[in-house]
Amino acid sequence: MKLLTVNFLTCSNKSCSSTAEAFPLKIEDAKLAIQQMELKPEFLRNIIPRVDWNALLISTRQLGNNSLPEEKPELTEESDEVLLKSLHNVLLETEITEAKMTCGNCGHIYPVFEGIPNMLLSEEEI
Amino acid sequence: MIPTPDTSCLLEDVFQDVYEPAEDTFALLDALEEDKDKLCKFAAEKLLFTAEIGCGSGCVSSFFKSGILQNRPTIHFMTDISNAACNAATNVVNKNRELYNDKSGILLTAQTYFLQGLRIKKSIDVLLFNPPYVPTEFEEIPKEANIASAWAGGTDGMDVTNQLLNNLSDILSADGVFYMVAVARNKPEKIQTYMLRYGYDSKEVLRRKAGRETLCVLRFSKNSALFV
Repeated sequence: MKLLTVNFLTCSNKSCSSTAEAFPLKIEDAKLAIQQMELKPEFLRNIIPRVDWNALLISTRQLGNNSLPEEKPELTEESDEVLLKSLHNVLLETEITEAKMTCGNCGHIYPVFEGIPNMLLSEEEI
Repeated sequence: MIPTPDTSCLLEDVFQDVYEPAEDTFALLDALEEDKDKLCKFAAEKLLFTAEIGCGSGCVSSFFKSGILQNRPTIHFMTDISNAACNAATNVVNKNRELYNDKSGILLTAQTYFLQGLRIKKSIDVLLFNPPYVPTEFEEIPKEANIASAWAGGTDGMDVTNQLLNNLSDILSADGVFYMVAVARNKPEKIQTYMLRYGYDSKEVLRRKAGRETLCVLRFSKNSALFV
């Protein structure tokens, strides 16, 4: 799954999802891969406003990447290509193939296996 | 005519665990194609967040994202409770992006129940669902995902669908639109009346005979100028 996906995942347990601890899920034991994609500045300009930047910084740091700016960049038609490339590489080209993602509230571990996050809870947890 | 996604990258035995595209799948594709202009207009207005629940082989998601909304900067989520389906769908949509020459936007897969665990409350602009609609005993709906999860629907074939209908307002954005497949035995007119209580107007976009079944595709929306 793309690193960006982590920004859209939270604990499946309803009593957790409203708490601050449940997001972002804490990523550990991650295996990463790079899957090249064509850079589409328009897509980045559209998606960045919808990204929770603080959560993204937490996730990228958990993966050992400190390359993103501290403040959410405001992308325009004139935005610097270096910045666009860096965002593109981190958000869209970085694939998490295996990982454990833990809810900071209930401690449930959601595994990522072969690039697919498993957000299912067991029957007792629902 | 938009070509049907190619699922030949899947091995034949995958379809023991994953619902193989069938008449109901193709009915949904045709209904979406019918609404192509509306959907593309919608995608020109804003960045769309779209989703398919129960993506199975990925045929519908691929057709929708890469065939219809080709190259629009859309974020499309696909979920399925079956791991085999999630894998199959991811393969199929990625292969077909090349075939449709679709280079913008992304498709994200998660193994989950409906959209649980996804932070997309009230933000899905287009939601697609081809439910397990076959009337069965409630007990026949599998507790753990298996191929019967793709069709066993409980009372009137509506036990699974009703869970979604009752939460639709929490999933869709204010001008969001929802497409679902139903068969005559699901009593589609009753579904349409039922959804009025949540403020959703609806339209039967397609109806056709398929063997002994009558299939239809319903479209629900509220406050939408495009999808009235």
